[in-house]
Amino acid sequence: MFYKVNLLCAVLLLMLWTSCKVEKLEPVNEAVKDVSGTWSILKVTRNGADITNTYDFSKFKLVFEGNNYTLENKLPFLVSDNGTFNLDDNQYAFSISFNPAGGSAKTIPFNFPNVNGNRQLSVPFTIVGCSNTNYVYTLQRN
Amino acid sequence: MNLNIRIKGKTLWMVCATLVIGIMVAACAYFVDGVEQPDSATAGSRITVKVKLRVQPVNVASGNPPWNSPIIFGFCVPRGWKVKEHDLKLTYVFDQGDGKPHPMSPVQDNAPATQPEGLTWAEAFKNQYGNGGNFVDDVEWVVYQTDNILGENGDSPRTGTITIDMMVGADQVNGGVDMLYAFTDVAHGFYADGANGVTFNTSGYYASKTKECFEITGGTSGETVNYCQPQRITPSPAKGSSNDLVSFTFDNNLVANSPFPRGGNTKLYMSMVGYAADDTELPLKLTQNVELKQTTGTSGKFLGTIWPADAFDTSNKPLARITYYITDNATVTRADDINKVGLQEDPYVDFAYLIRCN
Repeated sequence: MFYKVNLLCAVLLLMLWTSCKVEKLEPVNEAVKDVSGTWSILKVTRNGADITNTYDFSKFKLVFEGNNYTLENKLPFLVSDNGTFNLDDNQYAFSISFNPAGGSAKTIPFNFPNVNGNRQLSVPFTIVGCSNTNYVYTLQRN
Repeated sequence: MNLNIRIKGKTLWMVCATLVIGIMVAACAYFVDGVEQPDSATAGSRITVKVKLRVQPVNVASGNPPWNSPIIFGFCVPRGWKVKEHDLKLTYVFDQGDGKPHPMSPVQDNAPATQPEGLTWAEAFKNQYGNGGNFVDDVEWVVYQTDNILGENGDSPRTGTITIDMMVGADQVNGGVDMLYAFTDVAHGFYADGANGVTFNTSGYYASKTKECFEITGGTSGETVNYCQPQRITPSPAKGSSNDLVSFTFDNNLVANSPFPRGGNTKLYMSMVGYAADDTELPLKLTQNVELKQTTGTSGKFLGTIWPADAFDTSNKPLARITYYITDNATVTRADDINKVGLQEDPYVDFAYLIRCN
């Protein structure tokens, strides 16, 4: 009986020892933030009020290609001229800068949420020279 | 084991009713008990406002989470006052705390609200309370928070007072404005009615009180804006540049003997003329008047948005003002307009929108 108990303990200890396995945790590689493509307006707020349905925003396009951006069918926006853009970090981006040709750079927080499987890009801005009114364009990729 | 539980129908209803009432009572936890504020003030002077808060004890047994986070406090004032640029001071005293005034901290402009998600705190207050009862969309929400919770007081209410020291009427504009004071807490924000199965009725983890039509007098700008009076036309923003997107809300209900029918699917339009600073008329680029859409089926309120810089040719001279009226005619030929509504009749005066930032 004594030996059976010892044998049982030994088997249990063996099982316990073999059950332990050092798990190798590998850091998840954060995806590069890719904004390339053509973006259209999904929603517009002015001072927090939704004005999307009060104006025809459908023709406006923001196109990111390579390091360049272009504006089509312009509207009041963060910048008014085409130029280059860059993220502060391609993987862990906190801000995006628009550098219009011949103008000064505008940097905004990089708000790039995944909504229902689709990326959205949020662009907050005020009108140059008249900063009382706050706008936020929520863009979606075509 | 045979366990027999017998509950009479009457008892069951009583228990259920008690639970439901318990949940509702527990949810109606936040109150603004009073606002001490003068009825009027001279433009550019300072006023002191005291807002009394109360939080009823939360009935943990009913399933509501205990309340234990700092206060988020917002109030609504005309943008032109620029209160944050004029030595604005907020302090709080919690009666169940040390009884001493403590400074409140401004909430960062981009700080996200707890509820609703996706909005900043200022946007969340606007989302909840709009323009605070004002009819001119040229007000801003100023948001501050306490460093501490409202104190502990067992099952008794917790109370406190927030004191605001601010300059009013810095823009020297006369008129009346509804002043709305509201608060919630950091943990809950504007918790949606019905969230987590809890129905809050009209109040929940937030509360507000309005000081109606506070009047500014003695302003030197020569301008009067009555924020607290209904307007035939409400531009938003009230002051903007030619590059702003400016919305106009026309309220046909406020026009006695309006040429436009009440209710129904009437189509209305804005007919505009743009002027430079020297009163030169600027060419209109639009080929059709701006359509105003009825906000809801038969509300009698019509809303449309323009981009002034795109509506007029400003290549030679900048736009200084727009005069306009509401018509039921889509064509830009003004001679065809039989029915039109402006600022007033007899004598007739057009509406006017000045292009200016402040």
